[in-house]
Amino acid sequence: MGIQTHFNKFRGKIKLGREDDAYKKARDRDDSIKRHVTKEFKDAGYPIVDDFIQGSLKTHTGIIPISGDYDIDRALVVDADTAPENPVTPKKKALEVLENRGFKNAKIKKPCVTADYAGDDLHIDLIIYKRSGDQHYLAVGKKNSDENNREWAIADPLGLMEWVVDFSDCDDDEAQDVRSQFYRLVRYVKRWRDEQFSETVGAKVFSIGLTVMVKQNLESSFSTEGASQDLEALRATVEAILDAGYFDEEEDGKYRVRVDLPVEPYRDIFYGSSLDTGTQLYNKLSRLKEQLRKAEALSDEREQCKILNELFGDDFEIPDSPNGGSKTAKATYLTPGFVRTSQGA
Amino acid sequence: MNRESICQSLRTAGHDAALIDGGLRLRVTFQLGGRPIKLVHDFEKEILRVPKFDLEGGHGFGKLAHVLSDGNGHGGEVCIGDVASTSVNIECPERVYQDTVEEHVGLLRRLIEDPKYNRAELLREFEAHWAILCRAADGGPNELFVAWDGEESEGLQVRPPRAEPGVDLRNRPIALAGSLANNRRLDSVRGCARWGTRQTVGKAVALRLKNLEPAPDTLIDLVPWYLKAIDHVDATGARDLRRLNKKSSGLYWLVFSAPIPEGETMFAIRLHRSERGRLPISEEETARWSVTPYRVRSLARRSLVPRGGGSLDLGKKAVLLVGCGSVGSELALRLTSAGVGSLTLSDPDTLSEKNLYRHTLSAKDIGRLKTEALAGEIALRHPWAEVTHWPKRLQSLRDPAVLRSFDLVVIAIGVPTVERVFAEYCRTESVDVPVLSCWLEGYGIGGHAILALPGMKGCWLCAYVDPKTLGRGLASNLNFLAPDQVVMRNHGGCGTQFLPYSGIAASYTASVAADLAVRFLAGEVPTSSKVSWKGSETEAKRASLAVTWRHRHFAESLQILPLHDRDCDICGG
Repeated sequence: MGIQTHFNKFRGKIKLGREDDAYKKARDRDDSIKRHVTKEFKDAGYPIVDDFIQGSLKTHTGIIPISGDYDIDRALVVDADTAPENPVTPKKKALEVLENRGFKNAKIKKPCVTADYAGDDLHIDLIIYKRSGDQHYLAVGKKNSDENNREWAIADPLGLMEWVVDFSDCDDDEAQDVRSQFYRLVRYVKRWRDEQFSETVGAKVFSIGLTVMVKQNLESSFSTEGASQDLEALRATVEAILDAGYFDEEEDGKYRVRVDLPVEPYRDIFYGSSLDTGTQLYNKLSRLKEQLRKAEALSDEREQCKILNELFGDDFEIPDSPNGGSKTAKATYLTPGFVRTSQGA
Repeated sequence: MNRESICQSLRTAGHDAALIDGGLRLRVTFQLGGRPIKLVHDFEKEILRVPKFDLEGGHGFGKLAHVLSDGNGHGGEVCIGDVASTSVNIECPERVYQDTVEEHVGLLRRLIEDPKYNRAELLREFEAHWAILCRAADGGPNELFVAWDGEESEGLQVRPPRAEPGVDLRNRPIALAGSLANNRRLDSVRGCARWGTRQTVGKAVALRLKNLEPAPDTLIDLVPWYLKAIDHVDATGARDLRRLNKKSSGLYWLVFSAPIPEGETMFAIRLHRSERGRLPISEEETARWSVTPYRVRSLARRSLVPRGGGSLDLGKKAVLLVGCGSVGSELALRLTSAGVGSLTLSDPDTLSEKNLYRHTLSAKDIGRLKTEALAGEIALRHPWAEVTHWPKRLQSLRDPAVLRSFDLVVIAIGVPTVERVFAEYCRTESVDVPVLSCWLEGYGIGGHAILALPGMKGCWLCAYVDPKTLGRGLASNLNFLAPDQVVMRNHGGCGTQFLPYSGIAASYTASVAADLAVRFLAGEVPTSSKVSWKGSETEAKRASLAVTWRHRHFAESLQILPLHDRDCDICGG
């Protein structure tokens, strides 16, 4: 088999979708919390007019967390006309719901309300918006922020998600293949992040930052026949990311990372992040590039997989034999009983 | 065309040039060894080729190569190369004449100053000089068809021409070497020549010369030249000559073969007189004989095959071709034209009128087995190919002993399921025969050939790895039309469906497959390989058919590429 088969296996092991069984508990908990918050908000006079899943589960880039903690990014939207003037008010109401439902470490962060549910390995972020027409405003502010540090800030969460999945500039016949490869690459990079960074620094290498970088620098790669070549695509994309100007060397060997949101308010996703975060990200991306190049140059699949295992962790398995090791296992047709072809003579 | 200007430009360039005969001709004179050499050109109305110059006779340097001598003091038209492939700068006639004169002077200078070169060139163009001699002789074209390989002297049968204008094989005498008299590969030639209706006349022998002298200048020189030439026949030839010298006949045919620089040549001499006599082999004996030069039109394998672009090395290769449809029939002709010596055709199908516009066979063969009709067609076109025909389908050919008797099995049936069954059979039974499969796709979008060599990475299934799932697929990953679309056309209900494609598409597909097969047989393709030709998607789009990723990205038409797919579950990485 070729290296792509190993990438496909790896992707199968790390992929997380909202409908996946692994996510069932989190999904049930999310649904329940949503119902509860909906009731509380309604009672408080600012009923929820819309809600949606935000983040990787919506953009098909979710991965099973190494820590086992499943993330939920739940957006709750109230109407601008009924929304309280103080954006922290509904956040406090959401905090109450989470605290009453047994969540630990519930707290109001600047952009969201966050909490862990220890029993279910669940981490939830409730993001609250008010909406006027098509415009969303994010409830920004901590529990005790004064009026100078809290606001309903312009945001475009739906536009961002649309931007992530938009491949309209691709050939119609190929957009789906390119999009799928993009989703896979984002998942690989996120798992790489989880494996290569400490938990503390990794938490600051935001998934949306990685996603934007991959999307803006995507170098898709397919064989002439249309078979995906994820190794080549990932290596080329990482090379492009490193050359894209995201990293500014502020001191000798110290880098600041800046990645602007591609939608309103076009702010820097890594605003306020430290030199250490930027430097680590730059250095580790550089090493990722070198290791991917090394793997690409090898013909022995087992040796390739060893390198990739070191980068992506044990979910990227190392086969027993040099050339994949499962010759007999795949002699199956993954297609229907018959297919009409265009062949003749 | 300003002749004055041309002449003046030659003078300016340092040549002794003059317009003569009222300006109708141009003469250029140059000195060599203290003697004047004169070139004369007859102006033509317009320049359609490199201008021709005649060398005036009487120059005193003897017979020169590249001078098509008119027998008049070794003068004649000078040949400076093939004129057809030369592109002439007609807008600059002065330059054309300058360069032409320079070329003539250079060539003649070299021929005169280097006698060894002149002799080698005279021998190399022996056939041209012999043809001039034949044209000078009276009594017709003086051409003799000869089927003899020319390697050793041997007996010949010569049969006289029939009065059938327009059919050269019948209205010229024809000679068959004794070793080929019953060779069935020449059945078609014998048939076309009406060999059986022509009686052998006179005595004949094919003689191998160990070396050769340049052709005689004139017919007067022919007899002494002949007497000198027969001193150089090989041992068998000398014995045959002595034998004929003891027989009695009024007609003798002597066909000669001889080595020349970079090749071989053949020519013939006819000796005739009214009363019978022994073959003359001395000056006195030739006195009462009429001696006539004949140009040989060789039917020998070793001249016909390479002259037609084929390879003599493929003469010993045996190929089984399964499927004689539009692609297969064309492929069969391409293989034998390349020099493949033994071809077995297998197909139970008969030719239908529906096949006509894209098949190589014609209406006269409707109702005949395609294999049988095709074998006849090949015999006519490529007489040195030995063709056998079987009315069998691919699935009936699963016999290791049969398959292993071939150097290559070519499948041109376009039925992937049967091919899959056959490929699986060869794999599980370890039938180690190279197999080439080819097919085209409808709507002129392209065609493909894959060559799977036993014991090597790259098998039939490599061409069927599904690019999306990386598992086994049912449609080839070489295809340009996406699978699972309705591609058949149907004019008359069930049983009348057909895949729309043209004879051109069939021909292209056969050509890429034949090229791959021939290169493999010649040892140029040592690994399992694939090749495709990509056509336009216009027709497919018109039929609302989707193309594959490969069609959109493929830019390697006609290139032989590795077949091995690392995701093939048989070949592996």
